Amino acid sequence: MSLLAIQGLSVAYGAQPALESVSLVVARGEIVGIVGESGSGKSTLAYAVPGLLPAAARVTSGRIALDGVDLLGLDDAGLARIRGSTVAMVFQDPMTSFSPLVPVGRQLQAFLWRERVDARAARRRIVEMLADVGIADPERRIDAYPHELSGGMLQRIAIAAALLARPSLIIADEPTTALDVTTEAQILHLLREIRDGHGTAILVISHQLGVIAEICDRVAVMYGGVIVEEGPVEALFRHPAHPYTQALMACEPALLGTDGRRLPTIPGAIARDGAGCHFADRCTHAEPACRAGSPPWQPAGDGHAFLCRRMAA
Amino acid sequence: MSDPLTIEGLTVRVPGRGGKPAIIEALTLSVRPAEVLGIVGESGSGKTTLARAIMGLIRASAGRIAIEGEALPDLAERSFRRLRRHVALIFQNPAGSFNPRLRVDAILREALRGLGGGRSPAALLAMVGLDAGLLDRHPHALSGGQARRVAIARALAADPAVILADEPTAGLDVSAQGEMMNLMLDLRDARGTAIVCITHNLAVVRHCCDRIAVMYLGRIVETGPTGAVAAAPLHPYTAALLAAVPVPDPARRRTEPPVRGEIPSLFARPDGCEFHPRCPRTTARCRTERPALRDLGEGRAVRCHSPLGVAA
Repeated sequence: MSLLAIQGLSVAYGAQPALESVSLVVARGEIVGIVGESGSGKSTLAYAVPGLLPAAARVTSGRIALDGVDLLGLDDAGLARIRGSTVAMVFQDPMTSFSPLVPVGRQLQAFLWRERVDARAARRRIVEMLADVGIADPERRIDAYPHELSGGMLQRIAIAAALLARPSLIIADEPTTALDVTTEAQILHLLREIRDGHGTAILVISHQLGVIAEICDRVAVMYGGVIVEEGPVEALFRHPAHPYTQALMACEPALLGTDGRRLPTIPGAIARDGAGCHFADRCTHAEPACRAGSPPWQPAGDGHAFLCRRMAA
Repeated sequence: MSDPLTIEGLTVRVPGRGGKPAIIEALTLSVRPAEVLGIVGESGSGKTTLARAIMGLIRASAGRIAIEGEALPDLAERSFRRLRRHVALIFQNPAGSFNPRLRVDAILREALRGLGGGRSPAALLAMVGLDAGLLDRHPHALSGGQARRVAIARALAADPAVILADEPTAGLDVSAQGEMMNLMLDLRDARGTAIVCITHNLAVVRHCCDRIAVMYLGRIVETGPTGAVAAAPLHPYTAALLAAVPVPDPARRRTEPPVRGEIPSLFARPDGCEFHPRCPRTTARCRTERPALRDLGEGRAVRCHSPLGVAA
């Protein structure tokens, strides 16, 4: 049985749809990436799972099952029990994840409230966990205030906090976007070690293809509130099938040489009016039929599939 | 034609616990006419402080700044007014740098005030490819891309010789990154404006810049033409930065992070070469003797005792 199963999830902010019938499965111990531009709905999807959507958001249809529990059927108390114990979040900016007024160790103690351990045992657990995520000198750092630590160290500590309650799923929303490339590489390495060591499944949200390729087993590409392509990373990056995925890959500066001058772009912006494919207005392959009706899913082999009327697998 | 911006021996110190450590230390750098220069380094390398010092937003402790060959008499407040007419700064989050109560027209008029030259807000918008219809909008009614263009239009008001862009692509989607960089490159081609791009995004720098300067703890550790530096970095730090760029190819996954540890605090500068605690090639000499910036010809210079690919 899969750990997380999202089926036909639709979310709207007022009359504006943010997710349209999104389905995604995460297996135990699997690292799944969601990649897309701002406005693609990737954060809405991530926040819908632990019930952290803003008040203006409304789930209009669908089902989210985590470890067999129907999350959309839970009340606030039920969701609070799931958060931390089964699913934990790692946010984008570690500088704002912590209270500036309280030493980080005291903040991490809050993650152990279920275990009813005494203060000394809690401190020991936290020091061990800080050492596990690569914090040097954890005995001293546990008493540090957030402003005394670097962004990279704080993100390690945020990951330690997520791990303290031994969740089966960590949702990491742009976990390295606020960090330097050198620190980013270290944090991505750490996330992979955590999966390998603890068997924790990780859902990674990113706007960078490079981050997804670095750590994920499987990837879903989102555009305009819809998953447009999904598959194992090797297959999807080797043979991107959807015109949007192809355009994203073509824009990726890490794949360009040094001889060019102008960077490729995808003209236009995300728009989602009309019944057809949301990407049609920016797509170089679009034909009138693309704007008329919903595109079909096409298989591309080995669990790799894409949502398009025009391209052949 | 003299260089639009020359910096010689610039030192910036800030008071802190245990003295006044240098954030920028004896930094010498020039920006050539119509050049696109990328300044790269991690947070804490001093690259943003350098931008702020150039703009006179932080007082320099020593050094000399010259614009188009003419030295500013001193680094006192008044002379920076002239500098600011010739060097325009584009902030990291351009949309957040506008007064939200002013319409685009008023934002651009304010930038043009007292400059003469008879240019209009509409003409500035046209330079960045925007329609004059946007003049009536407030900042919140602009898209992200439009706001970035208006910020560049505002920077162009004084017809600067140099545009200084601080993390112009941070947090942007790849397509928006491309749009931002292409716009600056177009301006360079059309107007000969030199561009200094301060960023930790090496993938973009590698593609768009003519020359790279790599900073570590307030010093330049390597400079050179982009193609040469990217193909064969001389400093192990440059090599680590290049290797850290995540590549969207699962077949090129790294088994180990390319560099261990973090940039040290400026209050605890390592002895010898400042990179030695993180460097995979450290020798006894690196721990005690601070390397100087050595000119290796072909426009390349490196601050390392045993540069990569150079026989000892």
